[in-house]
Amino acid sequence: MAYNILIVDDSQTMRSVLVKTLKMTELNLGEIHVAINGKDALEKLREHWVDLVMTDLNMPVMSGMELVDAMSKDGMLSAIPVIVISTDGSAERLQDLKHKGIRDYVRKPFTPEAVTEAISKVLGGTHERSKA
Amino acid sequence: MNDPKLKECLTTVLCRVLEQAAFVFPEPAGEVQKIDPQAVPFIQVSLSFSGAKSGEVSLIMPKALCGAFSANMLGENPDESESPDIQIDAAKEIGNIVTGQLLTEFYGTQAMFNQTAPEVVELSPEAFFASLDGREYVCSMVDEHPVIALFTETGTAYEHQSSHR
Repeated sequence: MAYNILIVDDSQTMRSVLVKTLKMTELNLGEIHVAINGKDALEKLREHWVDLVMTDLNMPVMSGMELVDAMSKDGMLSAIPVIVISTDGSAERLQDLKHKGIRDYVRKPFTPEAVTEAISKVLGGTHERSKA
Repeated sequence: MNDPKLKECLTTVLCRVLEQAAFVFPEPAGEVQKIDPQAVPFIQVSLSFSGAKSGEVSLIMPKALCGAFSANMLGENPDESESPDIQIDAAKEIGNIVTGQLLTEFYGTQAMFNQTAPEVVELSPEAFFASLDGREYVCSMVDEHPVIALFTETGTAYEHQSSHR
């Protein structure tokens, strides 16, 4: 099974870095979609089947936290796992995110290994590997 | 205002983020007075923060350095330079990461903050030194290019609640 992933970040650089990072992993990837903020992400989620959302927190128009809230209230989207990728290092924020159902957190700057580990953890570590 | 602990934090975070995110190896430098802001165009990336404390973090760097950051972050050849917008976006993201890392490093993980989106301005030679007035800053050299990190705390009295204290 190939996994479709949605990357949400207002920085074009960071979106590109994450796409490249995902392609460097041995994850069995399907489609990679990108969105520039939470509002854009919700539109993409209504257009495409997505298995995992990887989102920044601090974005204009609609933040990552608002995106998570909106997804949790939507019956169609609430089951999609979310990994937050952000610069925020606050323990309180992390606790808040966990209460909101965030599955994992990767702090910027990140290594490809940290991203792969988070995805593997969230997808259960049982994903097929494209190069296996 | 001359806080050695803050300067130490600024230097540590600036060097760490530049190494880990932009894959360059900065050397902490001393005097910014030796910098000639007329020699090359400089930009300033600024982010405000609010929450447990409020203030602003800025980075000043030669515009030319943005291309190197962008190429390194994207794993591309510096000769095949990205568009100016993407080069500036790379500098903004570096500013964003420096700010997030600095707030945790200086105030500790128990403090929670909100950051604004990074804003970029080109600095005139006159504005270059004016932007340093009254602010804590450190300078590091990336190859021959200076990168200056500046910090201002506003809104509350300067309290010593850092994790370093």
